[in-house]
Amino acid sequence: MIYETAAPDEPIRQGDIFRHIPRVDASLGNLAVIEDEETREASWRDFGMGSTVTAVLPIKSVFGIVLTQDCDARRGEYLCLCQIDPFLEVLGQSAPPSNPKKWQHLIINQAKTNNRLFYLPSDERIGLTERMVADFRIVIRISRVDLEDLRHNRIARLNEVALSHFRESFSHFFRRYAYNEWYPLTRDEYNAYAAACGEGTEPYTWQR
Amino acid sequence: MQTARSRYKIENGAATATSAAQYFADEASQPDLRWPGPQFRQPLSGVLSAWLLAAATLTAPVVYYDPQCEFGGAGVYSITESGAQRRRRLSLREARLLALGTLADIERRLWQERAAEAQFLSSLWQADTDDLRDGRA
Repeated sequence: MIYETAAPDEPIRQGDIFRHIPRVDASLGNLAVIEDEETREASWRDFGMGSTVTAVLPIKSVFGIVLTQDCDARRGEYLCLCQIDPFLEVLGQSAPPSNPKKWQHLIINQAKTNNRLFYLPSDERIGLTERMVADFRIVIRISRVDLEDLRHNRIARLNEVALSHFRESFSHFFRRYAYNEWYPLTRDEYNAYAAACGEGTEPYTWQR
Repeated sequence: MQTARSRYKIENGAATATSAAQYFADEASQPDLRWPGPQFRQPLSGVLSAWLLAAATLTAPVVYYDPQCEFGGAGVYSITESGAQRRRRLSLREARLLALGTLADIERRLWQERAAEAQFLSSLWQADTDDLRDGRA
């Protein structure tokens, strides 16, 4: 479908999809810090600015897609990937749509409304056994040298059409800024909006 | 003084006694170069000194030391205030469980947050399209 294969010796490019990428997590309030051959529970606030701390941290293996553009991917010290997860699980849906019409509705719906997700169809040939999505909010940083060592974990790359959509999608996601979409509404429209939104919103003076 | 003593070997029997006698004779004949040690003089004696001591004790200023105030803006504060002894020690197993708990917690929050957002956004779009289709827009 929308994927191409990449030879193992080809340089890493934007849109390359990797399996078995390490995602390191830390809870700054509950760190298992190693000090003087002892391990202690500590908070990041316990340490002064500029500190170097060693700690026990969990590392999870995930799928990832390269965000870093091609030139930076060739010479930058670090590359960024965003995490890929199963589409339906991300949406919190336990049951898949029952027919193609419902599938397309769900996929298009998410593409229109959910800027953080980029849909990736399944493809048995590359090992994506189910539909997936890239989540732009989960960015993983990896040393370029390390990722080059993991090139055998690269399962595919996006083709030209998919790559241009991917590029535009994540650019939009990171470029957009927060604004109060209700600002131009009249008082009655605002009241209807506030009732439907469910989240706490504050009317402007012209909406009171 | 100490180097001079090395001349006198400690030996057994009469030789030892002879050496010792010789040593003390030498000591007596040499000028006393030892430091005389501190010599204290009592500046005030008796009741007066006791009263002065009591008065000094009762009128001494009380110094309040607040490390948070003293080191609040300094880089060493975190080390002083929350040193290793104040943190709970963990075994390697406990450290591993803490790390795994962190992972589980992050995963749970992540999946909940993503699902809630996706369903919220989807519901907005669904309502709009339903209204359009039904001519209620």
